[in-house]
This record gives sequence, structure tokens and C-alpha cells, in this order.
Amino acid sequence: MSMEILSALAGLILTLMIFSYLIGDNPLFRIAVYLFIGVSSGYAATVVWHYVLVPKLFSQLGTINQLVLLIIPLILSFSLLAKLSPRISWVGNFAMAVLVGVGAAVAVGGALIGTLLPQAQAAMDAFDLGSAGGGSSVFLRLVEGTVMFLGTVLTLASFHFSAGRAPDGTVKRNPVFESIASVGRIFIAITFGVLFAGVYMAALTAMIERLSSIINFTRQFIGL
Amino acid sequence: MADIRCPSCGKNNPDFLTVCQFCQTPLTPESTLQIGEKPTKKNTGELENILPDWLRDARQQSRDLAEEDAVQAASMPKTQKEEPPDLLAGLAFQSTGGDEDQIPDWLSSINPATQEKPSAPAIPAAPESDFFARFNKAESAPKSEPVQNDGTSFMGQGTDQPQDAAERDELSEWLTQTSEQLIEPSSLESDASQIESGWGLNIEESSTPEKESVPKPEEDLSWLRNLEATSKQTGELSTPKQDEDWQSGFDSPFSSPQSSEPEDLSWLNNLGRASAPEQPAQQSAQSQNDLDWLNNLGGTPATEQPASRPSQPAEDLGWLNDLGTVPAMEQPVQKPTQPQEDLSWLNAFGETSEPAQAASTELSSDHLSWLNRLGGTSEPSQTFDFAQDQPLERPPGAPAFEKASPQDDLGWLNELQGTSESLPAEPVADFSIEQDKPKDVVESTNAQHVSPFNPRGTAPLSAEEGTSIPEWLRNATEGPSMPMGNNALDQFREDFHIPTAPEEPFSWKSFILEARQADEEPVQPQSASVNPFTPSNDPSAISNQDVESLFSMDMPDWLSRTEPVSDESITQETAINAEEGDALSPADLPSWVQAMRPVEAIISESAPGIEDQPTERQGPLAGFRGVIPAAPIGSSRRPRAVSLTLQASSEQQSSAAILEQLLASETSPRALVSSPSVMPQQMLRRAIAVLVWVVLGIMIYTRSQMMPVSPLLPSDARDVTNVVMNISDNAPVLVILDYEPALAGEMEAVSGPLLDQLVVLRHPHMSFLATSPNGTALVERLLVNTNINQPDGQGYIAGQNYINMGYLPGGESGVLAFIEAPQTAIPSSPVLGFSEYAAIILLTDHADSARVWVEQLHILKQADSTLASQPLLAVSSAQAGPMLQPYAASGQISGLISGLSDAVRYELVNNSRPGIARSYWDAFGVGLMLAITLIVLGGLWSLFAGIRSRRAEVAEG
Amino acid sequence: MRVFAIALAIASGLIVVVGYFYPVEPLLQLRLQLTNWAMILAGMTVLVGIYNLVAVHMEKIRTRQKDAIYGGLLVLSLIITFGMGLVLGPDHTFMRAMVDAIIVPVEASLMAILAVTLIYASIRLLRRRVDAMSVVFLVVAVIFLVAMMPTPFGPIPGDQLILQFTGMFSRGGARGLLIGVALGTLLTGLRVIFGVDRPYGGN
Repeated sequence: MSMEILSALAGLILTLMIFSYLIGDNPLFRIAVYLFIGVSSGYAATVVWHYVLVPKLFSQLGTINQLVLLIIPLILSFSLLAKLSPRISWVGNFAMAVLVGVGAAVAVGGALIGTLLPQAQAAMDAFDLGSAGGGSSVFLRLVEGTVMFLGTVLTLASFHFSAGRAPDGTVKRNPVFESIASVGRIFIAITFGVLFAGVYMAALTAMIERLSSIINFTRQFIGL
Repeated sequence: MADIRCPSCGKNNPDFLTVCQFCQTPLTPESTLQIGEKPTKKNTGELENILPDWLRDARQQSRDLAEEDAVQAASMPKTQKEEPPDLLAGLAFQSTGGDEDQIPDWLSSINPATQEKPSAPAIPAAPESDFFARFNKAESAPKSEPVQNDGTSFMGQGTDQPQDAAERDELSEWLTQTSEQLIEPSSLESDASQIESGWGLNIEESSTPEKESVPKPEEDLSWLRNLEATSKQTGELSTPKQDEDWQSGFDSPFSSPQSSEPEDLSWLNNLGRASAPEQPAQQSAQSQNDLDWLNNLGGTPATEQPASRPSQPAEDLGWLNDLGTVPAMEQPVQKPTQPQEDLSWLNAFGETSEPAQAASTELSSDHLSWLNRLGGTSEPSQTFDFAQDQPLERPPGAPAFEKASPQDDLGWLNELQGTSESLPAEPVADFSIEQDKPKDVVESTNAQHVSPFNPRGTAPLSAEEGTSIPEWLRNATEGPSMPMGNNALDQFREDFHIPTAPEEPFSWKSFILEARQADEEPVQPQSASVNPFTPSNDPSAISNQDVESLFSMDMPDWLSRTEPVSDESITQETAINAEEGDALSPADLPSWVQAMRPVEAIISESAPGIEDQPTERQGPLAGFRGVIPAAPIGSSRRPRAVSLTLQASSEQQSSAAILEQLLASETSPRALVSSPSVMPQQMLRRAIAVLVWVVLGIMIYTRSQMMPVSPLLPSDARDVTNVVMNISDNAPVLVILDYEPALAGEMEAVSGPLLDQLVVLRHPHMSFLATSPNGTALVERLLVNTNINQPDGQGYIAGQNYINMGYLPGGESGVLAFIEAPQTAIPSSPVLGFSEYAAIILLTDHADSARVWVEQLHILKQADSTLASQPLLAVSSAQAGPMLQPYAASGQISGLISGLSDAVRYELVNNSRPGIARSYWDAFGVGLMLAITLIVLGGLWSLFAGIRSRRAEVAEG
Repeated sequence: MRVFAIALAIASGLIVVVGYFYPVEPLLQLRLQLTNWAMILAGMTVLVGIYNLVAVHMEKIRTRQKDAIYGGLLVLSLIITFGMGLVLGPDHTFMRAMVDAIIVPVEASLMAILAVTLIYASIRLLRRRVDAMSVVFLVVAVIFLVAMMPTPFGPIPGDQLILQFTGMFSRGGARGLLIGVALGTLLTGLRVIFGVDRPYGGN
């Protein structure tokens, strides 16, 4: 029995064990999940070791120059091990500080330059009728651009939580903002509906793939 | 000013009288402690016959109660705040509500220290402010005032905060002696010596807590000022050496006659642990309550035990009788149960246990008696000398009472009185008592190094002490009743040992701070509970035994000596008829008593912080803030409320409320319709699962391809084809696997057509990079399932036609690093620069991770014009497609294939290669139909079921 | 030390951010070094996290808690996989077989059962919550599925119109969501850079 067959058989069994969850939580499901977590974590550790630490850290310590450049990440990396001990976990804060600081900065730059400005520009370009050609396409583009613009603005407005206090003491949003936000929530509902449909299609595809693998393996194994 | 209350008529008589001046009834001289006579312990039973019937009964009741609670009281000092004082407990039963009025206000309001003052001739009840004003004006008052000042000064110092160096000097010694005894919070000892010295202990005890809790600098100093002023005016203080010396010591600091300030005597409240603040106000209003301050002497808080209590007046009178008759009562009944009772502190007189109360009682009785000697006693002079700016010159080793002759116990007080006629013996007596130590100190040359507060180290109470020192002081020297006091006194010593600054010979600042710290450390638990100024809570609060000791107290001589000043007033004052509150009229108060009257009444209850307290303007304490408590110390029992609320403006609070309301509305769970049961739900879920499995299984098993595929590609998918066509042959292409194994099946089906097309048409050198650790294993799987690396497929070979660069860690940081320098980030990267890639194909199943690539690549393209034409193709799962469409619309993504529907069409365009999508398509269609059907039908059923159930609920109400 | 960590985070963040707006070479080189260090540290955090996972389950085993046996299975499978991976490498056939036999089937199966769960949840939605949002959400989802649904007779009539119509709204909403997410990311990142938020333990 080849490795592929064994692998497929194991996959079949584990798939059925996971599917058993639809009947109810059971030990088979838990065994499959815990086994998956263990193997997945072990494989991830292997990948990190072979694809990250060895090539980027240890294999480049041969020369003095590289050692000087890597001495800081080396120290910081090992300082992360201090996180394992609550008593000295503070030692790892420095490495975490670098990690978080760099990550936050990259996220800031990406959000501002990569999303905010381009998407705002795209919302404005939707009304650029010059590139739409002529005839009905102009109208369609104008409608589409308007709808998308309204969807963008109203969706953002729905996240505007500023409110004031009414004369009776209750906290209420401005009626204008409230109406805008309600329309914005409609856009959000539409978007979430589409996303839900997409998620379901993805899940359905996964189900089909799993069932296909089971059926195909069974058919191949049995010889049907 | 000790008066002897007539057992028959109930009126007070000077202690020197053997027969009541009103009804000619014998005043039981045998029970009184004569001047110069050493107080002896006596059984209270001996006094029973002296007491009125009502008082006798009351005492008996109190004994009974005390006996019952004796055990508990010993263990739990301060449990009962609001209970009437032990001593008066019995009286409380008999006394009616009107008895409250029977207690003079000044008695209830005045703290233990104020007991010394009552000797002043009675002055019609006046507001406390007037009371103090009179103190300055009254001629006779000055006599008593200095004495009182002495007592008060030391009390004030000991209790709250240093007023003057001189004051400290005077008081330091006895404080030092008493400090040792402070350790004992509430000793139930019935020793006569302890009883005698108990007041000292109480004083000290009260002092330390005051320092900690409620410093009232101005008040203490104010009465001192009054004293000084009066002394200056009258010049009476000068006559007795003691007075003079003492007064001289105070002259410098308190030159201005500000004694009229009502606050002067506020410290008295603290001495007695009583929360004077509330009481004084009441007392001032009621002239009848003039003697209420005596209650406070015992540490009774005005707040806790308002004057309305009937028991207090009776008690007050009762102990006054004892004071006049009994020199030193035994402590038959040892009931520490009721520490908070107004007069319970009186028990402490005979005992070392309760500092403030005992101090107050003894002050009222004993110290008054010794005040008589002030005139003739040389000790006072020494004390005055000592008081003069000199810290404590008594050698540390020298016992404070060494020179005091055994007769000095109380006899020396008579001498004092003899010397200074004008001066009332009482205050001087207090001072002299305090200065028993100073005497020695003056003689000793090393006085500066000896702290006046040095309790025992310098003055071990030996036999000499027993002789020289009054017995009632002995306890104070022997053992500290207040545990805190020792620490505080130790700090006193240190500060005192460092008389560096002439202005601050005692370095009160440090003293205060250290004393507070020291008190807080070991004693805090006790201080909190045993705050002498907080009558109610003191663990060492006066017990029933203390009540007994009250009766054992000797009648202060000075009470009787006050008569010369104004017999009528004294009698009116002291004739506190427990049964008749009318006996006391405002006019009965002696001027000096009025002067000493606690000013706390005016002071608000809440103890101000140091910042709130005024700064001393005169004297050695000039410039210090909060050195002397400005608020009624008695209220210190109640810790100042600290607002834990966030200091936010109204606008901020309103904004927070708005946000909270909005969030609550958003997150508040809707009322759930009661679900019938769990089983139908499980059955429904199982039914759906079985239905899906069966339907899809049939479609997959049959390998159905009956559902046609539309050849019409979406616009975004068309863009992908266009990009592929524009890629040059054998160009390096980066394929990013940004999906998890969960969606590997879908992603392989969706990306298969594109990769196949790309490989078939352009034969690119593909570099695979995974953004998840498990993604590295998916590369081979992808290539296998798409037949790219299969021999019967495209025949791509690893390392030659494609390379798996592995895992890119770091998320956004890794993406940025890889984009900037591929080989630096991934050493196995075949390209040096990112621009070398002809196209970027992003296989993603999650919009957020895809967004990172889109954003960073967009930034890179803007920074590097050479990358502007580098296409980014996205192949996404159906779940991520809708969120990536805006990027496709904005041009940040060159082309997008989303989900199986796009893939199957693209696959159709690609000559149905590799065919994965098509193999899923029928099952996908059937699955969608099934899902739509179930959702619609089930949704409608749920909708109607929900409406029906809601109506049913509404109908049911 | 806490201040040093904060300063480190702020400095590293500022260097990277400034590099976006002032792409001078020294700054870019410094930013590259920082991002490379971040990659290494991120890899290390994976190992630390895995070790923590092992420690937690070992504690479960040691204390013989309820699911200790499952924890033992997890630890055993993890150790075997990691040991084999260290020796053979992640690209070895055995390791790939591990992935194909365990990781992908289990994870895909977990995703697959979502197809059933989502149907069930959709059915229960209107029973639990009936409001405009729910109705619109469910109706749009159904319409979109209908438009995407293949039939034996080909696509339903008007599928492209439906997709275009829903696509307009969904793209508008998605753009709004993306901008909102970007704003949130911007704000959160700036708070970290300025030291207001210190998720690295510098609080």
C-alpha cells in the first residue's frame, strides 16, 4: 500500500470523524481535531525552522559582518523565549516591541497609502464620465458610480456614533445622521448578504471537495 | 477645678469642702484624695454609699453589662460605636431623653484634655467662640488657663502635632513615659498605679492617633495663644515659676493673644478621642450641655454619641462624684466591651488601656488635683524652664520623675496652687504633671539630646518614680497603653534629638511625618481602630472596667480650687445634675473653662487634608501647614471619603454615556424567542446534513455534468486573461499562496484554470511563496492537482520550472520586506528585485491577508515607476471575492477570479483544463439549489413560527 | 525597562512609517533591517507559541484533567511531526503525506461542515431576529445565490442583471467597509506608534 493510499485512507477516516460532529460532539471528532492541531503545529514549527530561522538567522552567522547585523535579532529572538516564564517574561517585551512597532507602522502606511487614498480616489473616479465612452454606458456608469459612492459614504456614516442628548435626557443621534446611518446599514446588510453567499459557496465547495475525495477514494479502493 | 458633687443635692462643691455648701451634707472626705496624699486604689463599693441611688443603680447596671461583655470587650475593643459609654451605660438606662441636656455641652465637647480646664469658673453657656474669648478675658481664667494650657499643650502636642518647642519640651517627658505605655491599647489592669497614670497613657495614645488621623494645628495653637494672652494680661502665670517658665516658653511662639479663637481647645476633643466637631456645635447651642465635653474626654465621638443620649449626663455626673470623692478607685468591673461610650474613657484613668479616655478622665480628676500644687511646687517651674524652647534637657537616662518626691503624686499640685493664687491649680497641675519630667530635664545638662518624648529609656519608673511620680502617672511611664504611641514617640525622640534648627527645635515636620509613618506601620491597624479621637471605634475604647476606674478616680483638687474664682459659677457648672439638666446654665461655666471649651463645634466634621489646613503663622511652627489638626479630631474615626469616580467633565461623561448607550443598543441581545427544545434543532441540523450529503454524494458519484457553463466571463476575469496574454514567455511569475488548507480544494479548483493557462501559454518560471506555515505543503498539492508538475500534465519540475520559496513570516512586515528585497527576505528567492517578476498571482482565501499584499504592492508601485505595469492577479475564494472587488474596481488588482462560478467559466475558456471546477460544478449547482430551498422554506417557516410564538406570548401576557 | 520597550516600539515604528513618505536610502535600509528582524521575530513567536501549546497540554496531562488524553494525543502528534520534520524537512514525502492525510482533510472537513451549519443558521435567523437588517441580509444572500446558481437549463434569466445590481451595492458597501477598516487600522497603528497602546507588555 503506497503512501498515497495510506494518506487518502487517513484523510477519509478523518473526514468522516469530523463530519460526525454534525450528529453531535463526540470523541471521534475530538480525536481528529486534536490530532490535526498537533500535526499542524509540528509541521508549522518545522517550516519555521527550515524556512525562517535556519536560512535567515543561523546560516548567515558565518561572517563577522553578518554576525554584527544579526546579533540584535538573535538576541531579540532568544529573548522571546523569556516569555515562556512569567517571572522573566518582561525580557521578551523588547522583541515584542520591535515586532509590534514595525507591524503597526507597516499597517499604517498600507492603510493610508494602499487603501484610503486609492479607494477614495476610485470613489471619485466613478463619476469620471470621460472614460465611460458614450451613450447608455455613461448613464450606467453614472448610476453605478453614484450607487457605489452612496454605498461608501453611507456605510461609513453608519459607523458614525456621535450623538447628542435630547431635551428629555435621552441620548440620540442627530436625526439626519440617523437616517443616513439607517440607509448605510442597508448597504452593509447587502454587502454582508453577498459575503454570506460567498462563504456558503466556499463551504459548499469544500464540502464537494471532501465528498469527492471520499467517493473517489472509495470508488478507486473498491474498484467501482 | 475638681468639684465634689454632693451626693444629696447633686450640686458640685469645691473639693476642699468637706460639707456641701448647699445642703451641708458631708462630702465623704475619706473617699477623696487629699492634696499630697498618694492616691490609693479603692473599691468602688466604697463609693456606692456616696453615690445617689440613681447613680448607684446605674452603675450596678453598667457593671452587670460590663461583666457580661467583659470577655468580648477585651478581645474586641471597638465594636460598638454607637453604644453609650460604659460608665454611662448604666445611667443610660435610667436617664431619659432629657438627660442629655443634663450634660453640659462643654463637658461633652471638651476632650480629655479639657477636663483640666473645667476648673475655671463657670461662665454662662456661650458659644464656643465666646467661650474661648472669655478665656482670654476672664481674670480667673488665666490662672487656670496656663495650667490648662500646659495640659492642653502637651495634649495637643502629644496628640496632634507640635505646637511649640516649649510645649513639646514640657510635654515631651511625660509623653516619653507614657509612650512606653502606649503599646497597650486597652489594658484592663485595675492597678491603682495604672489608674493614676492612665491619663498620661491616654493622652499619649490620643496624641499619636491624632497626628495620624486628624491634625489640627491651629486649634491647638489657638488655645495656647489664649493661654498666653491671658497669662500676659493677667500676669498671673508669672507668679508661679512653673507657669512663668512654661509661659515664657510659649511666649515666643504665641505672642499674639489669639487664644480667643474658638479652635483653641479643639484638640481637647482629640484627646478624648471624641469627635468633637459635631458635638461642639450642639453644645455651644445648649448651655445645659456644657459638661458634655467631659464625655468627649472619654473619647466619645460627638457624632456617635450625640448629646441626646440620656445616659451621658447621668454618667458624667456620676464620675464627677467619684472624682470628688474617690481618689483612686479600683477597677472592679473590667468591661472593655463598650469602648465608645462617652464616659468609658474615664475607665482609662485608672487603666493604661485606653489612652485618650483615660487621659481625659485623669485629667479631669487627677490633674486637677495636682494643679493645686502648682503654686508651691518647684516642679512646675522646671517644667516651664523645660518648656522654654529647650527640647528636653533631661538626660535620656534620667527618669522623668526621678526628682519628684513620693509626695509629689498630688501634693505638689497643692504647692503650685499655693504659690499662685490667681492661677487655677488645674491647668498648672496638668502642666506640672507633664513637667514632672521636665524638672529633671532642666537639671540635666544633656537635655537637648534627650527627647522629651523619650518614654522609658531615660526614665525607668523605679521606686523613685513611684514616689516622685503620681501613681496615676506611673502607668503612663511604665507602659504605653497605645501601641502606636511607642513608635510615634520614638520618632519624637529622634526629632527631638536633632534640635538643629533653632526655629524648629523639635523638627516638627519630620516628627509629624515620622510619627505618622511609625504609627501607620505597626499601629495602623490599631490606630484605625484605636484612634483616640475617634471614640467609637477604638479597640481600646473604654470598657466597663474603665467605667469603674472612672469612679476610682480621685476628685481633682483643682476642681475644688476653682471656687475662689467664682464659687457660684463653679457650682453651677459642675453641679451637673444627672436628673436635672437645668442645673447647668450657660453662666455656670468658668471663664477658663469656656476658654478651654472645644472649638470643634465650629469645625466641620470632615477632617481637612493638610492642604486644607491653615498654615501656622506664629511660633515655632510658623510656616508649617497641617502640623496641628484644624478639624475635629474626633471625626478622624471616619476616614475621609476618597472619591473613586473618574474625574471627568460633564461633557466627557455625557459623551461616554452616549457611546455607552449606542454600544448597548448595538450589542444588546434581542429577546430570544423561546426555543421549544434542543432535540428538534439537532434533528433539523442532522436532517440538513444528511440531505446535503445525499444530494451532493449522488451528484458527485454520478459525475454529473448536465449543468451547462456560461462562456461569458466576468469583466474582472477577462482582465485576467488579458494579463496572462501580456506576460512574456518564461518570465518569472510570483505565485503567492495565501490560503489555508481548509479551502485548498476550492482554491485549487479556482486557480487551476489560470495556472494552467499561464503555464500552457507562457511557460513562466513560477516562484511559490506561502504566507502560512502550512501553505508550503500546499504548493505541491496545488501543482499535483492542477497537473502542472505531473509528467502527463505540464511537466513542471521543481527547482527548474518552479520553486517553492517556503513560508514568509511576519505578516505585513514580511510582505514589505519581501517586496523591498526578495532575496533578503527569502534567501531562496530566485530574483533580486521584486520588479523582476512579470506578474504577481495572489491566491487568497481571506480578504484581510489579500489586502496587505494589495496595499504594499500599491505603495511599491507608486514609489517605483518601473513596477507600475506589474500586474497583480488575484484568485480568491468566493468568500473573499466581494471584499476584493473594490480593489479590482480601483485598478489595484489587475484581474480577479473569485469563486467556483468564475473558475468554471475561466476553465471553459481554457479548454476545460484542468477540469476540477467543472467536476464540481453540478454538485455546486445542486448544492446551491438545495441551500436556497432550505433557506427559503426554513426561513419562512421560522418567520411564521416566530410570529406565532410572539403572538402567543403576547396573548399570554 | 518598560520605557525602553516603549521607546523601542516607537522608534521602530517611526522609522518604518517615515520610510513611506521619505524614501531615502539610509532610511529604507534601516527599514529593511527592521522588517527583516520582524520576520525573524515572527518566526520565533511561532515556536514560542507552539511551546506554550505543548506546555499547556502537558500540564493537563500532568494534572490529569478532563481532556488529558486528547492533550496527550496532541503532544504526541506534535512531537512526532516536529521531530520528523527536523530530520526530514518539510518537503519530504512523509511530511507531505502528513499534510495530505491529516491537515488538509481535517481542515477542509471543518470548512465543509460549515455548509450545513450555515443553512441551519439561515433557517433559524428569522426565528430569532426579525428586522430589516436580517430580512435584507437573508434576501440578498438568497438572491445572490440564485444568480450564481447553475441550473440544468443554464443560468437563470437575468442573472447578470442581478449580479450587477447586487454588485453595485455590495461593492459600495465593501468599499465603505474597507475604508472603515483602513481608518481603524490607521488609528490603531498610530496609537501603537505613539505609545498610547502598548500591546507588547509595556503598559
